[in-house]
Amino acid sequence: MTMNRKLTLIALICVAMLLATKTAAQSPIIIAATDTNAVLERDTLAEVIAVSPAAKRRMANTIIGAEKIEIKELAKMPVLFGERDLMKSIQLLPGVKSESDGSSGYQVRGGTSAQNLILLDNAIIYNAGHLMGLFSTFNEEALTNATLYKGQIPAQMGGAVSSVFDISTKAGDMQNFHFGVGIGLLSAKANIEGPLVRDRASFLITARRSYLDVFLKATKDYKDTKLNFFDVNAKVSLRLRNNGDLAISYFQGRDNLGLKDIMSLKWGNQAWAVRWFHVASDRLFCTTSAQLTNYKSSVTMTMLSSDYDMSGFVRHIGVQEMLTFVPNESHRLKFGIQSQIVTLRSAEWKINTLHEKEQRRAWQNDFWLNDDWRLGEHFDISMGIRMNTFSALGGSPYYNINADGSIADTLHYANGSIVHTYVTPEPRFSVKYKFNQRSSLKLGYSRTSQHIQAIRNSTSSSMPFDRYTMSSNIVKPEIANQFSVGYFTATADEKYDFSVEAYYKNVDNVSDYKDGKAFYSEIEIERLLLTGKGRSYGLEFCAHKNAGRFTGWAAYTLAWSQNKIDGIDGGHWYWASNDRRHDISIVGMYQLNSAWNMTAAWVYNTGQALTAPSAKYEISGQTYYYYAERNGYRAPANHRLDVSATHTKKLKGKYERQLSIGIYNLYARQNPYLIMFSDDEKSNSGTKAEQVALFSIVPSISYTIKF
Amino acid sequence: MKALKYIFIFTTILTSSCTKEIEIDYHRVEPMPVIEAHLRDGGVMVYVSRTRDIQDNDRDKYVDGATVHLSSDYGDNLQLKRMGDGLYANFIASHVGTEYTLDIDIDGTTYTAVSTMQPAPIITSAQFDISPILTSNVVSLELEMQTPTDAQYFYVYHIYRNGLLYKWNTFENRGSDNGQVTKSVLCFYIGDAEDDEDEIIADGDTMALSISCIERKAYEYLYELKTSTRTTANPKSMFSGNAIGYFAAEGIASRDLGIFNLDSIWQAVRK
Repeated sequence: MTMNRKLTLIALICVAMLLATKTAAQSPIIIAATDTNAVLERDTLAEVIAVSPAAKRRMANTIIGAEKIEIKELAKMPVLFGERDLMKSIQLLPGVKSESDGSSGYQVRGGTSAQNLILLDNAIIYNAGHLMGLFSTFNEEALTNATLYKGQIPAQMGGAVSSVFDISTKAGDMQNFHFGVGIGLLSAKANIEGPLVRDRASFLITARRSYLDVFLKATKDYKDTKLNFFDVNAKVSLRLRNNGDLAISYFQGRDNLGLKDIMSLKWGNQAWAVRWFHVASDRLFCTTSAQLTNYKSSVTMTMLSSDYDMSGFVRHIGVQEMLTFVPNESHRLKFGIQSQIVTLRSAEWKINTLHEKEQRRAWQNDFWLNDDWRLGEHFDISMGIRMNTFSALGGSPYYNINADGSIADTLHYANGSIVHTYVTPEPRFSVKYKFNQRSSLKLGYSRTSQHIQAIRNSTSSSMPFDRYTMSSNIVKPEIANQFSVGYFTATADEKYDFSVEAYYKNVDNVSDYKDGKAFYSEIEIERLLLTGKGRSYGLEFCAHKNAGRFTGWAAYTLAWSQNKIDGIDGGHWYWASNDRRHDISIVGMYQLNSAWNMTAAWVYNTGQALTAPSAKYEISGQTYYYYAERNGYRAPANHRLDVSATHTKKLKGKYERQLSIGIYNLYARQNPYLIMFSDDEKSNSGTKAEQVALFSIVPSISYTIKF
Repeated sequence: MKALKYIFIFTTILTSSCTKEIEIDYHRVEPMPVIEAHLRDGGVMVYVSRTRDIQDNDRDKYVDGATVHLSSDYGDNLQLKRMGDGLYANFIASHVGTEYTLDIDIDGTTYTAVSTMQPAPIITSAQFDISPILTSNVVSLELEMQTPTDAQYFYVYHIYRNGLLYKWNTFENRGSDNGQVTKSVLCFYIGDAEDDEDEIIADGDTMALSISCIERKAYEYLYELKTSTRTTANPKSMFSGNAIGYFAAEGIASRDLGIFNLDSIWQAVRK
């Protein structure tokens, strides 16, 4: 790729990163096993997507779209650069789209990736991507269950208007020690687990670090480039004497990117979770937990005579009590309460002598109640409500903002005093009518709210430069209402199953940057924002083959997504930047013999919405473009085929080794990652539109030893 | 280490991103008036043109039949003369703090913008410099200005090469050190064959600089214009009606940067 020097350091960073990512890979997902407590907590209306031949399990889920499946099958899928990636694998499911080629960022049912909530052992994880989102921060060796709620979200979960991705880490083996090491083209990883006290306590530690720096050091131009990421998961599990379990888990993911002492980019999450599960009686189960999340990012740059230092963070500290009461065979009541303090620094800037900061706090409380009610032979009903309160707290300035974005008043409130409280009732309802053992019809409605929003330019993907904001006297919570209906059926032998779902979702108080504004335009983020609403609707089809040497699935999504924001496109409805009409994914897995497993995944989507110029003009002799409509054009279609083969062999003793070879984008399709326009006076077209593709064909290899 | 290098080169070649030209079926829109107006101490100049089709290479979309009128709360009231090629101009003695109103009549429709005259900036230093960035050396123009400290002020600089615009951008005095503002303008990388020829300043080129103090509305327009390719959004026009453009009543300071000579800059740097 030709590098234009005008882009200076940022381009250099990106190029260095791209050079590195050319070795990165997409990978399958390993998620297996079960955790009894987790099952108890989770066995609701999951609209789970996971991919496994569990037709029966998909059938059993009460709520619309509820497919509760483990994701271990995903581990067999093709990988990019030998890096198994949970987030990339869920993008193959109906209703879930990748943000861009090679990105681990995902979008669900017309929402943006910023409208997804990711929970790791119930602790919130922000911007869960390494290398600007090319890989997720989750090491599959540490995970046991992952459930994506893309429609109906259980009442005990809230805080996102698009989806909740609930991920659980593994508990260490209480009987035996296990150890594993693996190496791919980008990173190396190791994991160890075993008993601390046999049958009473165990531990698990997994760690992964990239070694891109080594490659870069072998080059002349980038030898002083810092480019690495790491993540660590640790968990201690205790089996208590009084029918209870205690688990303490820790996660840290971190990216470091730097060019000598000129530029440095750092971002990452740190999360702690403590959970105590106890059985109060044979009808009442309790889970008491506490979580702490600290997500932070920083960018520093020293160039010519300028010094920049920009940073931000989001911190949560909270406690939660969840209870499950089973009064009889027909009802399962779930109720609980959660309280958390959120501290959010939308930005702190030190630019030469300028020092500005915007930081606020809030107190969020939730109460929920849900009943899973079995009504006769044919009906299963799940109905509940989540009451959410969110109070913006004093101690830092709040504003009244004029229509032109200037500050009308600065408001000062005492530290800890309540500035504004939002109370949002969130009813959740779904019903399943079972025609027979193999087919059912499901209906659902859910209302969700989101107080913390990542604001990004519409043309960009998830980046560590996102600025976060939360509900205040000006910013209102995003509130979504989703209606869905679905039909599920399976063949008598359950070798095949088929589902179709339709949904309609509207979201109020969607925020976006004003035209021409970017994250650094003003420190007071509320001055940069416009607010409006969004809507999305679509149909999702999915067919699974569940048994035999050849298994897999085919998914098709037909979707529409629009926004309406005063000040953009004349206040009319316009296509959202992530709108695209058709998405297809076909995944096939073939077990050749006990050693060889082969997989292939083909994805296709029609062009994503694109803002292109419709006219041009001159100012001071230079040509500029006039954009007549937001997202009024379409990018070229995107498709690729990924394949992989894995050979597993038992070695001496308890050792097992696994060799995986994969090719991402087998037929080297140049998919659009970025489209740029430039004036071309020499050609008849007058304007040149150029597409930049991020990846061509990408081979990968990884090697793992376990015992 | 050699093996690592080969692996790196191999994977880079295999996976290199690639750029190719694509076809876009552009949507046509009706031409819109484009107005660029500058009021400085001594005169006012207004350029009027129209937008052109995205695939139209003819840049001459001048509007010569407009009527342009300037008035102020200072009592000015004058009609601008048609100079040809879309330019309208006249002499006027402007006053800092005075609000000026520009009315432009095009085919019976009047477009209006208002701008308040700003004080002229004081350029204390402007010289070329050479600095290392990674493995290259870069030529930059280092600016120093003294600005008032009583409020936020907004600026636009224009660098000219042989009388033609070379680079421009906006900046402000937010975060200045007692009114002292420094600004580095990256010009080009020395010896970079990949760099755009238009970027490179050749020995013998005559260089000049102007810095204008403009009001916030004009600054925002120009800031948004500069970033419009990235944000894919139109800057907010300062004119009423369906016209694109801005009107800046600007205090301006200019400086002759002399004849460019790379060797003499190197010598100054080495001292």
